[in-house]
Amino acid sequence: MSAGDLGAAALRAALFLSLWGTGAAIYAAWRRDTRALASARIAAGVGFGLVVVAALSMMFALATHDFSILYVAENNARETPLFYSIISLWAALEGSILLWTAILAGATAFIAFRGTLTIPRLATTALAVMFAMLTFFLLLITTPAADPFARLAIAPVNGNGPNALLQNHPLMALHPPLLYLGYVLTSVPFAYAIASLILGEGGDRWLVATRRFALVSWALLGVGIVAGAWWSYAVLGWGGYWAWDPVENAAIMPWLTSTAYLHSVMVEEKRSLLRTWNLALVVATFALTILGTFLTRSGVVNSVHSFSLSAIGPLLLGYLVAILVLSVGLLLWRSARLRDAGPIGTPLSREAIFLFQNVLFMAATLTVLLGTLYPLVAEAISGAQLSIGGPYFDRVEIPLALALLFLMGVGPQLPWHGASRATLERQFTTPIVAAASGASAALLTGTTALAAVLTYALGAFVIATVVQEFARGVRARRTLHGESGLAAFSNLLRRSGRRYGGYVVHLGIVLVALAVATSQARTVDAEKTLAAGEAFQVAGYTVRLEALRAVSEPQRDSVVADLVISGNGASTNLRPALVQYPNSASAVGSPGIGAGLRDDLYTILAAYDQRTFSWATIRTRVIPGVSWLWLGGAVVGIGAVIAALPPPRRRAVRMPVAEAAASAK
Amino acid sequence: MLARVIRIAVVVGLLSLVMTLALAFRRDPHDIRTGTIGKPAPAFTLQRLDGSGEVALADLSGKVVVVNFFASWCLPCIQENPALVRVYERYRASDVVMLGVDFQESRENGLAYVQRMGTAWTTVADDDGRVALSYGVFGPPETFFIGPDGVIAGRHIGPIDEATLVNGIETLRARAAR
Repeated sequence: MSAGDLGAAALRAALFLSLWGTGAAIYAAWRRDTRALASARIAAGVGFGLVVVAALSMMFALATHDFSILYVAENNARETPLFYSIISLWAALEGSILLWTAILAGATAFIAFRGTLTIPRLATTALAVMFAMLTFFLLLITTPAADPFARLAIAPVNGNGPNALLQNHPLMALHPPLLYLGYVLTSVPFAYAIASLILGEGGDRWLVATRRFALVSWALLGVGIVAGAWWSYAVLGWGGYWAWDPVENAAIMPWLTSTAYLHSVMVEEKRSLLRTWNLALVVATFALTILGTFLTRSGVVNSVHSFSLSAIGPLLLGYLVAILVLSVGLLLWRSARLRDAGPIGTPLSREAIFLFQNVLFMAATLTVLLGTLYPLVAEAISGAQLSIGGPYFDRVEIPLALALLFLMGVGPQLPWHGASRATLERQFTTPIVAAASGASAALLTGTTALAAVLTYALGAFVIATVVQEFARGVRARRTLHGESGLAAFSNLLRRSGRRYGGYVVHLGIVLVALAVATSQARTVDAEKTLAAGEAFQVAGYTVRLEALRAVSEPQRDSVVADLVISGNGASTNLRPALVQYPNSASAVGSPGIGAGLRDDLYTILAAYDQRTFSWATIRTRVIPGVSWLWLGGAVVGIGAVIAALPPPRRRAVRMPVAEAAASAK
Repeated sequence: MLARVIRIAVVVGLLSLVMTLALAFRRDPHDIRTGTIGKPAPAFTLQRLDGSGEVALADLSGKVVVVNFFASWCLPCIQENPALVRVYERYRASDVVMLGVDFQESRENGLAYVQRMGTAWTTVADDDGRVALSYGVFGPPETFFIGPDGVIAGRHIGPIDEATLVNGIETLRARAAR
């Protein structure tokens, strides 16, 4: 039995278990039947194991170059290094959906074993929803639409090899799984929300149960997006990191609605407001992940890049429609029961800022959606093929982002229910001074673009509010508990992780905003054709071409320019290259990047003398502050971890209960 | 009242979203309007893959020509090969000419491939890829239908099936017979 047969059989068995689990979970929720629940649990656990076996078989088939499997033949070659062979699991559609299914099966098993312990009926209903979704994905990968184990009648001698762009950088190992994890985990809050609507529970229990899932999926999406930007920067060789490409838009849209949700959920917890809205945001986030997958996988947009047209498009659209009909129908049906506890009240309160912030996030989501879909609408109406470029998105999204940055500073400084004049003065004096100095710093360093100056001012504003909050918290702990400054700081993060982790996230976002503003406003470009030994200057750096050489590896041939960089305190060698993979029509540019906290020197081998290797054209970009973008992403991730970790206090409460139960036996 | 308006707006908005997405299926991603269709086929003279002389498109004028761009490393080419073989057998005694253009690879690999696949129709080597470029080929496989008048009448991007091939050829033969 080959790995391919094993994987295919495992998926079919998992499909059967998933169907069984759906029925068992529905029955268990309906009749409160514990035996049915136990059986659904086993189905979830074994089903997860089987999908993992299938994913591992695919990795094994890729690693052993089993070209009798179509997917392996299309995405692997004998020369592909082991590392890239294994991560080719997510190099194309079928494998990606297999990975997606594996994560979904894991989340289903988690709810089956852990979720159902605390709130059995709600979690069992949510489990049924999870099983139903899992069944859909297992159907996808066991039918010809996206069968990863489809066979070739004649196995080729060698395979096609992975897409050139996907085997050129190790970040490819990280970026897609992070995004998929983020995408798939949004289905957990969705399943609970649907369960809550089905059961007609007006309460907020679904929201408490899924808070951590929502946070983790949001963080994974965010970090995955930044990793994707980094990959694009380090691989695509155009010196940028974001292009408003449909694939990128597909990832950013659910992140935007999910960010809105993480904030508005606090309004529901504190004041029992925005109940329908929060359900709608959870549904929208999940639906947008499916819409994004549909847009990027069905071939309706971006057609030039997707030749392998499969039947998956209509199936995904059907799935999306089913989700929309079910959730919007439930929302409309149950909305009468979801009455809020009262109106929002004064605009100078934290809940009102959250509301404004939500409106802006929705505006950002809808405008990105519009820009992504407009080419489809235009072609349907006029037949013209067109594409919406960066200028539209920049013009619309930058003002929204600036307004959000402003609210990010204002929100945490306002108390719930409304602020007095004295509170306003106390909270905003320092941040406003900071904003003014931020703007002056920008102008003094020669940044004059309005958006960039505003970003510096608002960034300083937010940083000041965060520092002020931490300072107050530390001071309060020192007086109350007599702790040292450091102990007080770490206790703030541990005991009030949700709040202070959130502030850390805000700092990360500011870093990202500053990096974007700086790199967009002050990048210096230069291009020069050099003979070996010649040099040129760009923004204080001296770039000297040592030599041009051809490098041959089993899986690719490259032409490498050896550059020696000096100036600005740098002394390093960069090796931009043009890489030719056998399955690619054109050479792939592999940039040489000298990264630094102040600026990056980005070098590209644009052209060279193909006969005698006597000259090369080197394109350079000096991009200030771009490293802060990746750092900001990491800070966001760290902040999310702090916010997601359970506070120690809760464990202390649970222990006596467990002991009491043990002693009672 | 406002709640009712919002509800209707949400439903209408979602309906139009789904409509837009469903309408998008009407377009064929293989139909890329590069303007080659309806234009005279770019002329070329290329060496046969086995090195036994040259083939010029001009010599084939007055016939229906199916030009198929392929490469040995291209899997969809392997997939579409059975369809090409069947159609070739069907028309081999007629005025339909099938011409395989190998590009983006070395001649040895291309020759080994056609021998392995049992390709009986004429195959030529587009060594520097200029012919593929002049036809605006995105990547292998791609198939062009050229009428007896030397005008490109159809184009298919990606692996082709038997029905599409026969349909393309018969349309041109019917037009020529009129």
